[in-house]
Amino acid sequence: MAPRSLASRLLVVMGLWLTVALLVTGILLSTLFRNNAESNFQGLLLAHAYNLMGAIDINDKGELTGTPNLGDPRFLTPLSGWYWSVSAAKTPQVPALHSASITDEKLGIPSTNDKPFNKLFRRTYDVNNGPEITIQHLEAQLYLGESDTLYQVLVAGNKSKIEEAISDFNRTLLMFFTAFGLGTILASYFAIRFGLKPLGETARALHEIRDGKSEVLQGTFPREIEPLAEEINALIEANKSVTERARTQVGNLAHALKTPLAVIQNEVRKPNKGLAKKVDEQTKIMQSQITTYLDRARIAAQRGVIGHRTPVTPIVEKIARVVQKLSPDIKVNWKSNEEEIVFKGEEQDLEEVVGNLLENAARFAKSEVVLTLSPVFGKKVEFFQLVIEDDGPGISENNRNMAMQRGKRLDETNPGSGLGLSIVQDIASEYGGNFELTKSSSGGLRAVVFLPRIEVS
Amino acid sequence: MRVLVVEDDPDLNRQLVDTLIEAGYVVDKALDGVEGHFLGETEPYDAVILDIGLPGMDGITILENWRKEGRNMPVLMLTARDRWSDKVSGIDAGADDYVAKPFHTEEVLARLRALIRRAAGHASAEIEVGPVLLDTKQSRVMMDGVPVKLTSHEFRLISYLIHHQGEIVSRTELIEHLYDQDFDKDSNTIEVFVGRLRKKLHPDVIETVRGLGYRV
Repeated sequence: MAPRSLASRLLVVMGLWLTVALLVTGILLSTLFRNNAESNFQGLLLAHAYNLMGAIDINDKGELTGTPNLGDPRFLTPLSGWYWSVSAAKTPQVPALHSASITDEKLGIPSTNDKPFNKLFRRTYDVNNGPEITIQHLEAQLYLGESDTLYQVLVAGNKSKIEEAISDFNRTLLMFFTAFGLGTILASYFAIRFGLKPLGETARALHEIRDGKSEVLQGTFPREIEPLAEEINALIEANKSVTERARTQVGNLAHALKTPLAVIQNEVRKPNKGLAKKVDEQTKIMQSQITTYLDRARIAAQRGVIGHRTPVTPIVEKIARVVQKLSPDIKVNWKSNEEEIVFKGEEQDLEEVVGNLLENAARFAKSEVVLTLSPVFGKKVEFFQLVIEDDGPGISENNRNMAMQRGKRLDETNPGSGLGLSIVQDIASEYGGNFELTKSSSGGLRAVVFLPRIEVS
Repeated sequence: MRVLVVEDDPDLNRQLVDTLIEAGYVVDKALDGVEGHFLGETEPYDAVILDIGLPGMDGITILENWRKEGRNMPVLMLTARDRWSDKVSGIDAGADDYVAKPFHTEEVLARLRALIRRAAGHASAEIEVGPVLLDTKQSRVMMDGVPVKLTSHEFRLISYLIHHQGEIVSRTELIEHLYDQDFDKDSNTIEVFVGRLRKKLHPDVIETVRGLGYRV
């Protein structure tokens, strides 16, 4: 399983914590609210009970007197669930005095065994009066006047109303907490995205290196990512320098062999028979092998090396200048439209392609060599095109194929290792490009090379 | 024609020197950069064959110094590194052509001939002055289309004068370019060879400019 993304890790932890925290807070708030509501309710009942006790008395005949008015209209409304009564403790079911709200309903007073009075001669209990209607009774026992008859007052209130209030409160709480939770998660999501944005930018910068649009990780990074960016740049640098060192050493070996080879070849050139002929033959093979493997080492080293970008115009300008100096009798021209073309590859490779093709063209041209540089717009990979034409004798179609093979020389009288075109072929195919030879408009050779370029924005 | 060979490999140096002498050049040689630099700085050469990888002082530095000092003789660069970046740095330092190692000395010879000819402003391998024709490729001289047999000293003299046709060439300059550095510069041999050439070709071919030198 792929590891979770950083954003989802943070969001999951955040979400879990938020759920737990809000749940606990919600339960706590709800409980506090309930306790508070209940204690208010009980306080109210108690106040009514005291009120009631103060409003009754007993006369000389031992009868209960008084017309208690508790000031709450609910005690006057039948079936409101709010009522009071005063009775002798022995006969609680037969009230001597009672509120107007009591009609003929049963009060459901439990025996003192089921609900004993406490030290303060009070008891509180709930009575279910039909579905979803809970009535709380508060009873207190007292002696009135000089009489030794125990009386009992009862104040009852409809508790269902506070349950409704608690439900309302809980509903509001749930709504608010859900909104708060979702809002916080949403805010966290944006915070995380904003916080992790530099990572995305780092990835983009790395992608630009792979694309060759940049050679090092560019841009300013936050303090947390800065060391990573520095390490990546150091790695790219190390990668390049390892490649460069390896290439230099291979090159050194090859070049160290070339001088002795030249000596051997020249030494055996004169009496070109027998042993001398064999030596000459073998040194030629050695020379060709050195060149082959030198090229392979170069190409192998370059494979996978990232972040090369080479502006084409300066290279063409430089090589054209050199070839012009080497062939002063030939006019070396080059043209390009204004657009800047950047080769997605190594400078050395481009130099080899341009150099070998221009030098060959100048070698065979009668008077003029023309190099044309132009971008090619592809579907996915962008290429550019190098066309090099000369007005020389040209090559027949059969010979054109042979010319691209390694070490083949069509014209033994003309100097050169004969490797120029095959190197161009190797480089073009290594970069996923193309190399072809056709006939130029003036009858000479026309070499066309396609190489990848970087879109310059 | 006097040529300097700067190559640190003694065998390759000898092979180059032998081939050049055989082809009728006067040759000085140097086996390291410092000596090569000094010779090229002080002696007048018609061309230099210069290896790039040299002990003491590398070829590129030598070449840059020579060009800075105004020494503009044609220089043929020898290089084991045949990448274009190496060629570019060589040419930019002031080389006129390059030959990549390994090579056959004949190839070096052919390039050298072309360089000397080009430096003298001649595009073709054959230079014609009136009835006299110098074939630089074959190292021979024709008078009215007939080959003339010349000794190597005689050939060098007429070849140098024809390469500098129209110019007055002093006796000292001739000595400097026709003999190597150990030659006794007070000798009268130049007059002797001029006399022989006039006899073999035509009395009017070489003109004596009194007090200054000779002119073809």
